[in-house]
Amino acid sequence: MTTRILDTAGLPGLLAKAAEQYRLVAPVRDGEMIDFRVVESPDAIASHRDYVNPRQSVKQFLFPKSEPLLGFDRSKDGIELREPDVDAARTLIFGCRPCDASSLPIMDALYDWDYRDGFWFRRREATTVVAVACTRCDASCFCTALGGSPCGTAGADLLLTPLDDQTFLVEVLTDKGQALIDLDPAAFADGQGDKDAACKAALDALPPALDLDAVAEWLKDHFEDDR
Amino acid sequence: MSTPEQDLRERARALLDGGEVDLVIGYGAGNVPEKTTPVFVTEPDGVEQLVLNPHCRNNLAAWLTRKDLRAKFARIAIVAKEPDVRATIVLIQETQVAPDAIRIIGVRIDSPGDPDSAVAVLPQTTLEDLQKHLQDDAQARDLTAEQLAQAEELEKLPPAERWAFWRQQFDKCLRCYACRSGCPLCYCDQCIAQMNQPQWLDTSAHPLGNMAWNITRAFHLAGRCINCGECERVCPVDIPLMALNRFLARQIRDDFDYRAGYDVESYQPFATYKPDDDESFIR
Repeated sequence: MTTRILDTAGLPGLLAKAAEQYRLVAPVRDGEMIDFRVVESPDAIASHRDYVNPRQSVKQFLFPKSEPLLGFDRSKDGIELREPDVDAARTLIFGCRPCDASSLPIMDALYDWDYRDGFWFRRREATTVVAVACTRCDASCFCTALGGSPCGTAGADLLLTPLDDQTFLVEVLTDKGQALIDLDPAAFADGQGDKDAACKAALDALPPALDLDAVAEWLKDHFEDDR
Repeated sequence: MSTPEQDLRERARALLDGGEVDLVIGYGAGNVPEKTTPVFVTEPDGVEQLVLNPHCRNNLAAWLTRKDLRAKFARIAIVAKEPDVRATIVLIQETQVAPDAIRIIGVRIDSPGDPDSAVAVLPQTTLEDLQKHLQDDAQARDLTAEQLAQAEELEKLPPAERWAFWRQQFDKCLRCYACRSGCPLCYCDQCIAQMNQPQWLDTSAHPLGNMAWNITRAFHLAGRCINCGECERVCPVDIPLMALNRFLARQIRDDFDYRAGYDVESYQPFATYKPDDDESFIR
């Protein structure tokens, strides 16, 4: 895996270039809450310092609350089914947290379990995920309990870790992530950084890992427990 | 001098000790300091679980209509803030709760959610006295100009803009029904949202069904909503539901000189028929 350094001042320019080619989804302030929205310009995006996690997950952009699953035409010859137009625009999700990004491979397994869900995977293939690591957490956070990390890379194409106010460490995790870097190569410099140190405050405050094997073992005998 | 929390525990203990109730529903410590969670106390020593602080937010009257609790406990006491007392009064009016089967431990939280807010246990112990407290004192804190401000701002907008505002708000709705769960007066066994023959409301989280659900819920609460604001507080996507509910409450107050939850003996405007009603609006 390669790493790069991105100056925070270069981020709006990169996102503006991306917005020309991608549907850009990012956290936006809406009254008291910060939630993901489709944004036209990087100016609308809330700073990662202003949220621990947006109100809802990014799932809504891969699995909408409602959408047409099929259409049909009825004529005197009977009923003819029509394939729906799947809205699978090329999408860049920017600013989700590593926990949110790590949900996507878990959902992949579910949607490819006994049937491959075309709606999910068409959108998934068209979506690039840029996660931003957590430098702090709140009392509800528990990623470490389930094997995650405030600077975990699962499900992300790029992971940005704020090393300080001016600099992101960029981990290039997939070809989709590399494609984004290729949009504006001049914005990135070669370099490395200590992401665990950057996330230390969050790491220190998060709960210890659960022994998931022990949970699975215990459940075998207690799944039907009345208590 | 005892703290309000100690006063509360002593009141609960006395009710359980004397066999006056079988269950006290109150607030207990939550998993984070700024949250509390309902607790169910059946033994006198269990009252030590009870807390009283500005983070006591749930309207506990919502538990009074729970069939599982009612089946198990003949007499129930609840810790009730002023809006929760009003909700209980409406439940009695609507014959959902028998006044003899409940006891109310009234509490007052001056500024809910504000860590510095004063809290107190109300001295009144009977329904009659609590009702008098509501009418004489608490009414001034209910449906205030400040609470009505958002509804009245929206009222001034041209209809198209107002429609656009609500359309945008309801588009966010997830149909999680937290508003319904938190509401003490949404107690139907079969909610209209779940009826499918006929299906009155589209159940998917689609703009059309969302609009229908949220407006229907507001109308079902017209003349009944006691302005506790729990629906809005529990909404995960911050839909300003109380702007609708307060608008309707103000209309009921102005047109019918009626405010919900102040008088067990009163009749609700939308549940009353009078032969001499003014029916000019349908002529």
